[in-house]
Amino acid sequence: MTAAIHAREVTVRAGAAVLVDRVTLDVRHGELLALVGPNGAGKSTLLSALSGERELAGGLVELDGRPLAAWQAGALARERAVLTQDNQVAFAFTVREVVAMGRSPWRARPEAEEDDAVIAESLARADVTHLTDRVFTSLSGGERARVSLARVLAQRTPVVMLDEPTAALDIRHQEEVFALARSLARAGSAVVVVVHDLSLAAAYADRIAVLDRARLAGLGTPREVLVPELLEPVYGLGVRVIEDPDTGLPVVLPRR
Amino acid sequence: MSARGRRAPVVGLALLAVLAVGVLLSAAVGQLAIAPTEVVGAALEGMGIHTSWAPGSDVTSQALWQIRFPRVVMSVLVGAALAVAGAVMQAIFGNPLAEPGVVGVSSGAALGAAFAIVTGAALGSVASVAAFAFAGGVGVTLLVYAMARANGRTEVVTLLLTGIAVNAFAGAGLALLLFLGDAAAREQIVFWQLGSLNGTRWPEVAVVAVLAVIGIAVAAALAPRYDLLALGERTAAHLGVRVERLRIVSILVVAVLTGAAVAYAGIIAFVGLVVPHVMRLALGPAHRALLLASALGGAVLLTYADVAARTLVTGAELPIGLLTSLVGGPFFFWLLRRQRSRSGGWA
Repeated sequence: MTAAIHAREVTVRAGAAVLVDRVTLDVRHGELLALVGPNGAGKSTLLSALSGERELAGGLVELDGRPLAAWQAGALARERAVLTQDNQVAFAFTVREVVAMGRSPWRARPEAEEDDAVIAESLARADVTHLTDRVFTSLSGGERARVSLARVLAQRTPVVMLDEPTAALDIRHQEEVFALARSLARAGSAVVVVVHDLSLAAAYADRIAVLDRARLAGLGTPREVLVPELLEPVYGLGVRVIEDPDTGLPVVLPRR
Repeated sequence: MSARGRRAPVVGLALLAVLAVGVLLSAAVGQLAIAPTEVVGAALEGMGIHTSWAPGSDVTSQALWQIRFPRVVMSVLVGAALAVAGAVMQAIFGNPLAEPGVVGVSSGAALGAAFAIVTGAALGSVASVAAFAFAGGVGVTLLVYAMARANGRTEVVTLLLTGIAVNAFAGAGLALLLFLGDAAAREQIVFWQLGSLNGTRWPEVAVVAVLAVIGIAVAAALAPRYDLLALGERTAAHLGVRVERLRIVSILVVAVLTGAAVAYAGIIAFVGLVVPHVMRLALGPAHRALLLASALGGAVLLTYADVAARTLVTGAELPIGLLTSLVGGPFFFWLLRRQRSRSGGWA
């Protein structure tokens, strides 16, 4: 079966600096992949290379077996949705209007008939239905993040890329967002999430990719990747990996 | 649909009604007072419908068709074009303070017009002045676009400072042309700059009408993409908008609309700032309704401003640009303060 995202030897440069260095990975439909790594390791850059936003200095990215360059802008927006870190909205659009914008790639297509239902469902899944008529710019950081997530959900794409969706969220909403990401994957989407919290990644991701100074330092299941031998040199910090008593999944703690 | 969305038809109809009254009023008042019924009668007669309301005298009929009607139509077109140009500018810069006048587009047009007046004595017709004003407006729009952007985004401060720089440069050019020109040219430049709809003729109305209709239609067609642009360039691109192409087309739309409006009517500032802002307060920021309402609102504003310009002082006509700036200046200041307090200072 064709991978949803196929990245081969992907390299991204900014001037002389190499931001992503020959990264090769596949993300399958039905899979949740977490991208982790220290600040500045190139996680967001890799994500923007996978989404088609950044030009590659080398390598190849294919979505559903087609190189990114072969996708029309509109078709690409129906294939993959992206949640960026910074979610600002100019002018006083309401939450509903913002989420409805996620439907725009489907305009003038049969799927547009489902717009209202999809918008309502997306608002509910991101737990922002109670904010529907609020103006986006009046929301708190966490509320904005969840509304933006609802916008991404409304796009209804087989590939979903989330760049630190939990950065501004309390622990309950962090859990909910990851549970949501996993349910998207279970429903058949390929989901890539950039995240800092390793234990959160361990609890929800099928596989984890660890980036270290622009390179892929590890790629595998949480148990395979979240081991001190791999993490300690990457983060430059002593870590202790213990088992969650309930799930048996790894929990990563710094040695203090 | 939101409560604001349902308001759009009501606001649209209200604006149309206010505009109809304004048009009637504008055609009726002046040195030769004409009854509103006669205005309607003359308009119908021109369209081949004879009614009992038709003006009794040929003088009245001629005054309406040769002087008043072209002027009224021009005020509607110029107002609509300027307001839509402002709304588009704000959409592409993602900033309610962006307005063709504020960032120096109008002064570029003035420079073009002055150049034509001073140098083109041989061909100093209305048409050549208009053509140069248009070229100046378009040129400066492109210049502002190129200068105000850095790393794919535009900051408020950069935008306003670019406006200062462009205005200063255009001001220097204008001063030089005033210095070089003879007394008649100077007078022509000064009055051109003040803005006036006086002496509008049908061929000029036709030119502006074509450009305004095309510009407004293109802007309305792009409206859904402007909404997405409010999410930021990156997210808009992720949603399938070709942002750079949208920007360039939009800049051309702004240039055509502003250039067309300013070419014959002179500098009429702040319409593009005040009107879209008021419409945004009434209807929300969704651009399809906003652009169309701005067109109507701009038409209303200029129609009434023109009536005021002709009637406030008996026996003389105030420059219409003076009136719009008189209202627009304080409004701009208020908007600036409001924006500033909202964002907690300038970034």
